[in-house]
Amino acid sequence: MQNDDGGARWIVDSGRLPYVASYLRWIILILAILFIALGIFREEVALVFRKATNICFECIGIG
Amino acid sequence: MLQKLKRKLVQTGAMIAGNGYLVGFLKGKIYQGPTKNVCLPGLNCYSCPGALGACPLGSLQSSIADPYQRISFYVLGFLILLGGIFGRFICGWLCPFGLIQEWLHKLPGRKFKVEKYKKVHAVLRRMPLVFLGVFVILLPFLGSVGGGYGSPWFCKAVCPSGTLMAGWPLLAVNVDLRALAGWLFGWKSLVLIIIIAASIVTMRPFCRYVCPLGAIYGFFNKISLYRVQVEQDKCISCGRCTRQCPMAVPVPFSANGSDCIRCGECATVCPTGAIHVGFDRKISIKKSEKINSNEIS
Repeated sequence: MQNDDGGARWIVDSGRLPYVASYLRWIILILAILFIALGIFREEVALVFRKATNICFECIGIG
Repeated sequence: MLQKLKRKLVQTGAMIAGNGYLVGFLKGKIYQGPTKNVCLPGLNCYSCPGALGACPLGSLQSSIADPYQRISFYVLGFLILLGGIFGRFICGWLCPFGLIQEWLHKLPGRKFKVEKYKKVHAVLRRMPLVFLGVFVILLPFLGSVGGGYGSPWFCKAVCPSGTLMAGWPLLAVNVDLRALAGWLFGWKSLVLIIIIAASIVTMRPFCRYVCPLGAIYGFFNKISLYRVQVEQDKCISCGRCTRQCPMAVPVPFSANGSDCIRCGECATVCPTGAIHVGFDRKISIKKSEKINSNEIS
């Protein structure tokens, strides 16, 4: 079969994950949830809140 | 057409939902409620008067610049979780600055495709990694080595989203802040004006060649649950998907490349319905029998 330009068909990347990677991503997601829990435990949320509730002078081009 | 409309509605909805504190725009102040404990998914300045959440990139830099913290597991976990589930879907569907660039690109005028110049494009598309490494990680870290607090250098020297969504609206209303504006504000305004001008002539220049947040989410594009899948036996190698792609991703060869923002435009033009954009699904995989790769122009 030929394509629009008359060339041969390409090797198509199906986007399907290799077997190992399909499990790896679940491990990464679990790790992410553990990170968030650890961050909450370490009270890192307070830093995010403090930074976000004060005008960031650097962000607006003053500081 | 329906896909485009759906995406525009989601993008606009996300922008309003993340920046719904309208009183802030009138008073020149920012929201200080409890939702600011949580990061917003896209590049959304937390000093935007309307912002209801925190900026993930700003929060990441703040933690690196803080000698008593360095690594924020909370912010890292948030970025990994969103990246792992959605990849750069966030850029294509939820980021307000991405939407603004798309609006600007709708303005009339001559349009320019950087990807036509392959060598230039190849160099420029690596630049988000440089901005991530230098401005988001290295400089904030170096600034705090002596025990003091470093600066969020990407916010300070580059981020046009902060200037547009926070700097300009705040200084327009708040006289006290306006009095403090100096050369840095001028520089950041210049960067923003360049990005605005570039956005009119080319598609999403900031997302493609600058944004470190997109680079972070891009790391996860290959493994994210929300992804692009191509049915090999349905693909007729016509190349329409690649020509349609606003991010110049060669879809048949790199269906989940780090540049793909999951906008789904490739799927809408595929004449055989070979492309699926969404959460993982079982698709037929078949080794193509006759293979040769042609460069897509």
